[in-house]
Amino acid sequence: MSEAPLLELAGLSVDIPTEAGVLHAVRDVSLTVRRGETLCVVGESGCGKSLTSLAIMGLLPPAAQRRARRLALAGEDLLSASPRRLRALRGDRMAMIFQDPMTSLNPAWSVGDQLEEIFIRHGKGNRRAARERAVALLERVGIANAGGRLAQYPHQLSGGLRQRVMIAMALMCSPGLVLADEPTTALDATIQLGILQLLAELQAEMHMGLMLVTHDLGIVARIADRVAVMYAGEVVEEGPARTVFTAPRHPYTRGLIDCIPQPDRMAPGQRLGTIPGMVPSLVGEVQGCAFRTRCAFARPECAATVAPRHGPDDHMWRCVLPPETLDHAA
Amino acid sequence: MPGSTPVSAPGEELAAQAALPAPVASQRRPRWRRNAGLIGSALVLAAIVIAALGAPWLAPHDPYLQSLDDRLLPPFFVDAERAMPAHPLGTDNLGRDYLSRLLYGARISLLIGFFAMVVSGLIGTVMGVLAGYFGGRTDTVVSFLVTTRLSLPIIMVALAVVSVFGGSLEVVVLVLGFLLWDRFAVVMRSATHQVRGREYILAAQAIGCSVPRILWQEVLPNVLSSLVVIASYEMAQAILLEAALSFLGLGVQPPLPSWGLMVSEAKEVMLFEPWMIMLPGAAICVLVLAINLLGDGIRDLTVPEGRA
Amino acid sequence: MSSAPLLELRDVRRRYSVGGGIFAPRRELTAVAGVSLTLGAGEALGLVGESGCGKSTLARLVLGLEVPSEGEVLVAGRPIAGLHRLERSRLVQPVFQDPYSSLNPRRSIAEIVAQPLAVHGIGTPAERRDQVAEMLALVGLAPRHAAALPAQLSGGQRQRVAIARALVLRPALVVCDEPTSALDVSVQAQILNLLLDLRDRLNLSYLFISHNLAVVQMLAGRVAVMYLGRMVEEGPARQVLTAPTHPYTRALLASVLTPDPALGLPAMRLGTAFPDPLNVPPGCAFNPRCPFAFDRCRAEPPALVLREGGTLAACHLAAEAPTAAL
Repeated sequence: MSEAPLLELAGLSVDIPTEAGVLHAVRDVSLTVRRGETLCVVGESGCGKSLTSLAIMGLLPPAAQRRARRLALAGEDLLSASPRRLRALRGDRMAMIFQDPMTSLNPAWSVGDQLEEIFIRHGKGNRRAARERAVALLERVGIANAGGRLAQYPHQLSGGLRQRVMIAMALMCSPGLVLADEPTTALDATIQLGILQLLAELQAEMHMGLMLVTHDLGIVARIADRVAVMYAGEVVEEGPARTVFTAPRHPYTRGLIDCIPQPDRMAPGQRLGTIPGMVPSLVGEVQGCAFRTRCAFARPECAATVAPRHGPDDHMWRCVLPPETLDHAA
Repeated sequence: MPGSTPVSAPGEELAAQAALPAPVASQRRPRWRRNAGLIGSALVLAAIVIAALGAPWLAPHDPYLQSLDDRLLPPFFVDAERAMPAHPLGTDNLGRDYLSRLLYGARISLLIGFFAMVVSGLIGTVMGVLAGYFGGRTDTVVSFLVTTRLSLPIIMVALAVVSVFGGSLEVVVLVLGFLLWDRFAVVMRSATHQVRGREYILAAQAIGCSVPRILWQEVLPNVLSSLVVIASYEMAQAILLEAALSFLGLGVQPPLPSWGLMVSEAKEVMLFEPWMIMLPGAAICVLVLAINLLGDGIRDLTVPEGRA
Repeated sequence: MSSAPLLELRDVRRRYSVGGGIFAPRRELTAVAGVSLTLGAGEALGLVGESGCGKSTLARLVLGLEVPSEGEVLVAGRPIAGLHRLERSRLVQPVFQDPYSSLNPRRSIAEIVAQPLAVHGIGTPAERRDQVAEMLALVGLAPRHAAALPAQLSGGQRQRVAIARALVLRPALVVCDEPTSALDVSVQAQILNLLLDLRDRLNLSYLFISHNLAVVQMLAGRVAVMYLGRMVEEGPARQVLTAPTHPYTRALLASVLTPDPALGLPAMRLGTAFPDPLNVPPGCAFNPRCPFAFDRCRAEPPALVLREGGTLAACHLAAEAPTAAL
């Protein structure tokens, strides 16, 4: 591994001041994405996964305060980069795909205008080159009659097509890193599958780093090389997808996996596993393991700061339990 | 106020068990205390209402009593030497006590503002809620009526009506009431339309609620905050229009002490006694501002916490 | 009366007239195009389909909130749309998708759950209070939640309130329209378990509408798959989920992504043509997206035919050749 990781993020915290106090939405998150690798960040609503991706892009809302020890794209430090440099990087070297393609495409401009603008703004070529690139990419993302689609407006497209346009837009400048925040959540299951297949193919084809933020462990299991499970603003477990799914070391990961209905594995009427209780408030100082209030294995030492533990294959988890505790029949 | 209940963040119970810091909702000041505009405007408005209600006791003189010997006395702050202690705000060109007339004038403004708002609010809300809830043909009819109303110039219609029926308190209230409902109708229509699409309306239908019950229990409480804002705005609007109509001689007729009429009467001596026009003018300004601010404040209060 | 099924749909159609601007003529949208179904007491029927397939229209038809353009919706043998609102609401109750929109934000939880009783004039206020407390306990809420407003509860708790409101009139049939798709997975699991428990305890029948086959499989004994207002496959859940006949059912099944890292993304490919109910293709409605479509599919709509294993499927392919392995 001589090559520097594409994305290095260490010690990221995002604080949001609220009326009740400071909300520690993201706490000490460290992630790396390599070229040609898919990292999935998974967690339930409010776990800080979307804020993490926005923080990487430098697109946090103004009230949120970002702190990090290191944030670098292909070795270039983003923490000290000028706003001008960041604007040049965004859309060119790193691109983002949002959840709702209806609101993230500008309804006042045609699809072609929006695709070409990115290409031209980043000085990749003239209008003709931009148009050729746009047509080629729309065809690549599976849109028939790509040339004709350029003149259409976002409202004339279906949700699935819009998300394909968003993907094409993200790829206009061949970025090294693509961040996708719940890219398929608003879509129907069969359309979702098509989009995921497309993302996986493009990622392999263009050797990009893909960071996919989702709440759906099913998607994660099928597409991820590495997984980071977030709970209450913290990465509680991170590692190769296969390891995390077959031998989870954090009770929250185990609980999330058991919550998912699996048609081929369950008897009719069988109950699902559940995680009782609710996510704790992150306002004020958070001490110890935030999951201990819902954890069946909680012990007194969980109230103290839990140091990350490491296993083979860069597997990391934050739990005091002996690793074999959770090895029940999966 | 339903919106002022302190809201605790989700997860309170577990947070408390775990000795994670619980939200400090109870220690925070209630929301209304944090809204300076609301408190200030409520105090000003309360003072004006008390002055209006208590005018018979607070006013030092009969507002209609003329005293040609004491004409055009200045208030104490304009010319302390000529001012008479019996007339702290001076007298008008017929020698009537200006303070008393201002106090009684508050009654006219509030009365007309309030009742014009009630009349227009009733008409507009009924039309808007029905149009928003039923849509279709009802909506078409209401939209047509709103468009028709918007094409009528208020002052011209008022002029025509007053020339036929003569100017009086009742006529002014009715004219304004029948002319100011359009904004109520438009806002209530869109607010109702929005609520109509929510699933609790569908749930109420499935429970077997009758339409009046759905309108009363499910729709109305959820459009109330928009209604309050429009009501305050229209009341202020009615007060301004009354002043304008009275100024033009089309509204309240002399010798009733309307603020608009006082401005009109003062305009003849404006260059010599500018305070005469400034006092009722300032009163109108302060009242209208207070009502508008109060409406805004109440709206902020009723918006669910954290979604301002 | 054991003879009449609890719910019976006889060739139900629902059309809307939409659009109609200055230049565009009004067009007819067929949201439900001839659906027949039966559901017995104590059974659960899963209705699966994606956006625009007409499943929410079907839910409103079953609730009696809409009248079919053609055909009949019978609940306990009587046409639901013709019943008085109080009568129909005792037979069928809904649980909706979005717990943030299905509860009136201005009313307390106790008021919301007691409302059906008040509307129907059941019990004294004290009796209603007791019944509300009982319902809240039944759906797993604490007594102190009764005084709360919806904004003070989490999404899962709100969905429990919606379930309590639906059950307080003791309906025989509950129509669940995507009851868990707005919830987090951990909360979804709790709500699905609750629905299972309630069915066992109260002998409820569910019409369970969802886009997710895995969720439907949790609750339903039988599954019906809809596409563009038409039924494409119907049968026992086991059969439909293990040996699906229709290519659309197969695609739906393939797009259920279970958390198994050994499997990877399934290879199933559908065309990107968006199912548009205003513009239904001739022949089989699914043909533009179907990887197996042939000439006949583009010309002639397939009929629902009984297959081996007891499922009904509307597909020319299945009629002509045995199920091709994917």
